[in-house]
Amino acid sequence: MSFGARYLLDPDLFPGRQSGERWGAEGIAVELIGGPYRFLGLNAAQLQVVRARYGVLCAPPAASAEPGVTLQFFRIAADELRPQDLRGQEYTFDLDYEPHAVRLAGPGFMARLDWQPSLHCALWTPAAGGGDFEGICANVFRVLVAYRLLEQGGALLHSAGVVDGGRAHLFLGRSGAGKTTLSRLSLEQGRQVLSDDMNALRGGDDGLWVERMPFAGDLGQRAERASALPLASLYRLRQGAGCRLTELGKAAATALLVACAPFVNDDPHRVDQLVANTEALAATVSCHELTFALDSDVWQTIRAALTPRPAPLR
Amino acid sequence: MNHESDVYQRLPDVRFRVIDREGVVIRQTAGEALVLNEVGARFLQLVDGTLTLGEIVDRLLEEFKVERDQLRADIDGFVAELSENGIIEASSSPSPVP
Repeated sequence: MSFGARYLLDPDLFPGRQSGERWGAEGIAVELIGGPYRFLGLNAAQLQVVRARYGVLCAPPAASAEPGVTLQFFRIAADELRPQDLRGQEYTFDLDYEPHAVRLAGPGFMARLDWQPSLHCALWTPAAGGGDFEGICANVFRVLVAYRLLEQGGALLHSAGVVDGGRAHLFLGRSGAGKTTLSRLSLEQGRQVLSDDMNALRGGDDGLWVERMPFAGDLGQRAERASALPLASLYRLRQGAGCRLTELGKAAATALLVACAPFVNDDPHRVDQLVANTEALAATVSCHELTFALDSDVWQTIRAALTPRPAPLR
Repeated sequence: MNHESDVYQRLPDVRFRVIDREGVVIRQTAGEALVLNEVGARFLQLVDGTLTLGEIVDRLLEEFKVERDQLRADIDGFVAELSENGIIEASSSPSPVP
């Protein structure tokens, strides 16, 4: 099926540039890694939804002097989209990758990211507010953040981020790998979970850093303003008997990061940038495969493996 | 069984990189990232649409301490596996990979 055919009545009418009738004159900035992300052209109800969803991360659009990224909201008539019944279906959308743009079409929206002159985004939707608008906005925002991190040398990763001893441990894997299970186990033991679905990884002068993303997984975290945490280690998750850690090489770590970087790892025009980013990220941190069972003491295993042992005297 | 004169090339959607002598293979259409050992990585490096399997085997024999018969058998299995996974394909006429 061609791009957008599932969602748009006439995919050929997909906008060739970022223009249209704005929903309103309201604007707000979401301060997140790679941002601020300025949401412009909102009506009052949409503004309220964004404020409620991203809470303490919100600021006036001009609060920061950083150029950041712009996300503009435009109206589209509901009858330009195919009616969708999403009950019992996994929520998906179409992406189409071009050298200077990425097009998106999904239930209740179409959107495009452009890179000329710098990354910016437009979203067309008939949703004037409410839960539909929140979901549409979050889905496009996720893609936008993934691309912003990519151009800044980092990666948005399908992962569970758990804090232990002031450092973040990132557990990577696609749906069903055990991210939420491990997050629940960690929460029950009193550890902080950043996100059980998506976390940002970026390099710095002094190692790698993890930032919480306000994209809720099954645990339903909400937006919180939080400092970046130094990364302790990466893990490829595998559910199995017992609990053990096996060290992975840099190639396996790079492959893992690429496989868990949604949206951008499907983009033929930008995958080379992703591989370069992930190779650089993987070069500076340890990576393990973690096999675990529900009744195993994951954290005892991790601490035993990662705690430096004193070198023998002779 | 492949012939010594067969020529293979990587498919256009495959990205390949050697890191610490291992190979990372990214096949975008399947959303997969695979890891190859040192010999596998070197083999895939040499699969460029110009070298025949015979020439690749000769190169590998120069670079690695392996028996020809064992290497030839391993290569046959590896070519079948890579072909089934959409990583390489037979090239009808030798031509450079873009």
